Amino acid sequence: MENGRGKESVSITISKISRRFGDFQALDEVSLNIRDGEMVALLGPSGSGKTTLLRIIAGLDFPDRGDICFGDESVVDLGAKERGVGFVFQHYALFRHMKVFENIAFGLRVRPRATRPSEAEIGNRVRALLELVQLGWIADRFPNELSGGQRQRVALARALAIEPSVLLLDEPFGALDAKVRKELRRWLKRLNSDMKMTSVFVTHDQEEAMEVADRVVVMNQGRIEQIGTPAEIYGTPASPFVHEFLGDVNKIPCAISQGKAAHGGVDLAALRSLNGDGRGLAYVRPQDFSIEVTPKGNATVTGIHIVGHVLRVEAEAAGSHVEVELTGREAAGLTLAPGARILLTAVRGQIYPQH
Amino acid sequence: MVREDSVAVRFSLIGIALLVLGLFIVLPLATVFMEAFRKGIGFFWEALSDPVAIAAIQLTLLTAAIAVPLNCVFGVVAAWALTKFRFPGRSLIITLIDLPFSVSPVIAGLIYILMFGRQGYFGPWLMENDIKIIFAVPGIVIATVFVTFPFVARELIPLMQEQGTEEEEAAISLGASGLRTFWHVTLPNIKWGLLYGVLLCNARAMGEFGAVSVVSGHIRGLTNTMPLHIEILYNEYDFVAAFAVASLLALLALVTLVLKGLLEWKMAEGKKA
Repeated sequence: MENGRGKESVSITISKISRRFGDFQALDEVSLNIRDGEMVALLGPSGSGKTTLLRIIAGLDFPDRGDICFGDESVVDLGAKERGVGFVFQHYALFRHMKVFENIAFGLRVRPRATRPSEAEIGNRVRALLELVQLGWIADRFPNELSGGQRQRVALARALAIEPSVLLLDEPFGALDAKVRKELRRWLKRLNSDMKMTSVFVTHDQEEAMEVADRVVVMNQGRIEQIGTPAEIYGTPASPFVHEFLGDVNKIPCAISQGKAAHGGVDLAALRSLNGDGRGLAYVRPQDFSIEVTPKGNATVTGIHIVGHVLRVEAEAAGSHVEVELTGREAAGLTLAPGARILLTAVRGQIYPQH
Repeated sequence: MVREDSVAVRFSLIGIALLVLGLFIVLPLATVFMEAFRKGIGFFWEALSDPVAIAAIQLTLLTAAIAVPLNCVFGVVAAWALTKFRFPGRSLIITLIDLPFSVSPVIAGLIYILMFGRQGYFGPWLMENDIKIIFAVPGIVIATVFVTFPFVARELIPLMQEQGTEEEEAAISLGASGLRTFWHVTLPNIKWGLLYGVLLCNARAMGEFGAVSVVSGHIRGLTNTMPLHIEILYNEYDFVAAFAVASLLALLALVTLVLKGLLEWKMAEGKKA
């Protein structure tokens, strides 16, 4: 979409933001840089502070301490009205008594007379936005006559109408059914790469964050656990929390001595280990094992399930219950049955010290 | 579902309900109109065009014309503040708004006698400055405002609570001012509820007897509202005149009922949205 006023999208710099609600520390010294044109996901469980952070970026809430800059300009003292941010609410918050057209035109109509477009121009802009969100035929309906996915897109068109420098979305796909959600995700991703607009969205769904975002910010208990590309976050999680939050993981207790982790049933030699001695917990994803069927193995197969194209093997390894996922090709050469002795080797994973 | 065997039960229940309704509501209401017109339309008209009756009608209209808009503004402001913001003491205020409902109207009247009466807290000061509140129009208006205070606020608080603040936040983030947001987003969303509250508030303002009776002093042609005037006429055995004025209040009640029904239907429509 062309930017009529030529308003550029901007980078966002968040420095040491804290926010407390009564006894609850919603955000604790959070710092984050979001690049110009980037699409960032704030990912975390409920209560992690992600929505509070989004609302603070929007100017709908204010930090107790800390600063926010759009580009080089501090906006921390500006309210939502002055920030020029496009905000898409979780439940869309469409004006229920206005038709779709008026909903989208609202942001243009409330401008001061000097910068308000003419009626004809508003009409053109709204129609262009409706085209953009592929809802050209819907202008004369009321919000309650639309499906969830349509409302979502109208809310997006309304937010884009003010030519925001930043687009913020709160759980944008949370209230939609699975199929619509998938479609909208791809569509939003495409829209973002076409428009090159700095966008931040909140989600608790790791798959959604992985698919749509350029970078993912994982949050927990008011702090940022890790910032990285989806591949980085998934491949090299920075903490046990991130490891666990992004997909299934086996937690295998082990003993560490002289930088080597050992477990009676699983070979952990390939894992990057810690210095020093003590007890540790090895985090290994189900697909990061290799299996060899051999009587020398220290693990026993206890169950086998075929789930779509993967074979899920459950095993008992020296007191630990381990879940392994094999692709069809990996499983092809193996004769697995409950009771079979296997050698389990962790190919990839992380060892965290246990206190 | 139980259907076939309950016909008798159903009809007798409906019958009882209709009987009670007829006996306690329809019959008295019809009596009011029958009594009012018993000596013909001439007497009816005469009773209403009596200067004292006209003064009572005017005072009632004046009182409602002041109390209803005041409580409308109070109600909207209170509901707005209580539902769109969180602050300490919020639930205490919500409880306090209901106070006029839980207090007997007579007590409400007495409170103002205690405050503004000759022996009241502000009595001497008011006398010195020659301001009359008790046994005068201001007292009647104040008492009416007190008694009808909760109607609008009570109607709006649950409605606005249910609607939440997202639409307002959306308007602000799109660049609208607070006033504009209220005018173009909040008000259209609450308009039917507001009208409903105003309607009930008006019906009560015009019909209030107890509180007004205490502070009015019953000065004919000066401080008598319609309900007070009806009581005086009745006590003087002037039944036709009493019922003639009463029929006006009864008519108001009927109009209120019809409008209330219409508004409830409108609000149900709105809720589907």
